[in-house]
Amino acid sequence: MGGTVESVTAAAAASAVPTADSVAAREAGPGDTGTDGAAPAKLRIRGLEKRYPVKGGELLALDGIDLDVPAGGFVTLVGTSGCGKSTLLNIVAGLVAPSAGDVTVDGDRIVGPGPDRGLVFQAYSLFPWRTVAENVAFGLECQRLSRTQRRARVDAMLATVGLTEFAEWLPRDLSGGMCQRVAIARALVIEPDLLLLDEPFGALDLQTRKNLHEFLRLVWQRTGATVLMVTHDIGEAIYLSDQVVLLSDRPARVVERIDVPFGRSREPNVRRDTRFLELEDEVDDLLHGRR
Amino acid sequence: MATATPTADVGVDQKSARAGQRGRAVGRLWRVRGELTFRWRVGLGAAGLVGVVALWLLAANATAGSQQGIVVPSPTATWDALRELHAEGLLVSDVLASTERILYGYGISMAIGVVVGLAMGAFPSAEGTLEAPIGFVRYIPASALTPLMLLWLGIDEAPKITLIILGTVFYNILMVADVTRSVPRQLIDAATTLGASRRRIMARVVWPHSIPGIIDVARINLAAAWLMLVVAELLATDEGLAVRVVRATRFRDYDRMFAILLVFGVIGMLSDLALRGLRRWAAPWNR
Repeated sequence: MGGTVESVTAAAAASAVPTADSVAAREAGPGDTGTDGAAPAKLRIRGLEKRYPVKGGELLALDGIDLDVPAGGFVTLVGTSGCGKSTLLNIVAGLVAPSAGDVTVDGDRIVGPGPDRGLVFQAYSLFPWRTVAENVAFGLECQRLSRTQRRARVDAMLATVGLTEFAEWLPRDLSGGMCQRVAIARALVIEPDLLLLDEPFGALDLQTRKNLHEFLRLVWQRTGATVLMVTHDIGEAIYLSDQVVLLSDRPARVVERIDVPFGRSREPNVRRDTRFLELEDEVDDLLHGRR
Repeated sequence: MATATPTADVGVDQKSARAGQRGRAVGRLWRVRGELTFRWRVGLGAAGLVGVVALWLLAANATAGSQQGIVVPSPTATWDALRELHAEGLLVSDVLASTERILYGYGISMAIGVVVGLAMGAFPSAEGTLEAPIGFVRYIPASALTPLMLLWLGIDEAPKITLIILGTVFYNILMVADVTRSVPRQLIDAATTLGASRRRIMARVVWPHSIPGIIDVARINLAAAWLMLVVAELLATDEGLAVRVVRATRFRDYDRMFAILLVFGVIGMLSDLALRGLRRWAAPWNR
């Protein structure tokens, strides 16, 4: 285990019912103990619950989630499909209202969606009638930037994601990997405080996925964005993030927080490192209740 | 097993199985949801029309000479009647009068349909408020309102245009609402998280996504507009295609009746073609 895995069950149990003065409680927050320590939490989640009405009762999707994402950090949520990971992300995005609990970004409570939290979907969700450049420009149009300002930022972002020559293409003529790059560019160009990725590479083939991993790492380091990602690909989670958070089957609870013991400047061959492979096995076992 | 012939006991469809081949080759023309080349499309279209004319000729021959019961004029007699109508100056004025009524009536109906339909499809408040009243009014046959319109609005153009509106607007509203509802949730979510206001979502996401569907609605319900036009023109009037059919009926002028029916068909086909073109031009991203 190498001391990288620390159970937080006790800490999670200790977290009190969230109150209005939860911002003041940040210093003593349970999640802070797991991360690098100094960085203050950008995103802070305490006692998050989500219930859905279903035929003949209620479905508990999220059960008392505590989570911190430090500024500039990259945290990944891993769990089996249908465990509620996406629901959690949608709550942070402001698209879904929580049933109970506190979700704050820089101490501000989330009451709805906003451009400070960029969301990237698994299904790309590009506007099919807009070209690549127009898709990327959408968020900037909402900010009422001048045409020339918009143009400059879109061009710069297209260069970053390597799509300059496809600026005038329509989404239907692009491959899945290119579409996802457009979607990430569209979310990033408005410089959100928080980038939320909902299984962004789930629909892509292995090679494209690996290329996009490098792409995402580069963009993340270049922009200094704070990232919260959801995936069920354990290798992807370990390779990309500072911290991997394991969620249990429904109702989703935090099973484990694992600080990834590799530095930020990672090479793809870190995936062959024995420690990487061991960690992968460990997470896999934890995820399937074998430990 | 020993008696079975080699071809009989393999699990291959015998009709399609040939030595040295696997699978079943499907011809272009009969593939499920296949696509036609341009040549085939034009060729088959022409063949269909020729088929209709052939049936017409057959029917005309079979009824030739009879004055009572089913009388079908020949294509040549119909054509002659059409030229006669044109020579009398009636054809152009009738087409213009009827088309104008359609353009006003159906134009207003589509405008209302788009505005109210978009609102109903997008906002639960509008849907909740309007669904019940529209569901009720929709089942009142618009043609049954003809006498009432006559009493309320007189015999001028107003009652005719109103009837065309009443006969189509509710279908337009409900179908446009359906089109609006088919905007993918994720596109709206994406726009919201990118900072779009409600107005911007309507203008930049819901509207562009709905354009092709709205044009389809316009195409489909246009037929209902012509239906209401015929009912409307039964109100006292001198010009119009339906008026001409009614007048011809009085004199048992089958040639003229068929000539006008032909005109209805041609106008319908042309407007359909125009709306298809509009759809392709307005939403090139959609197929």
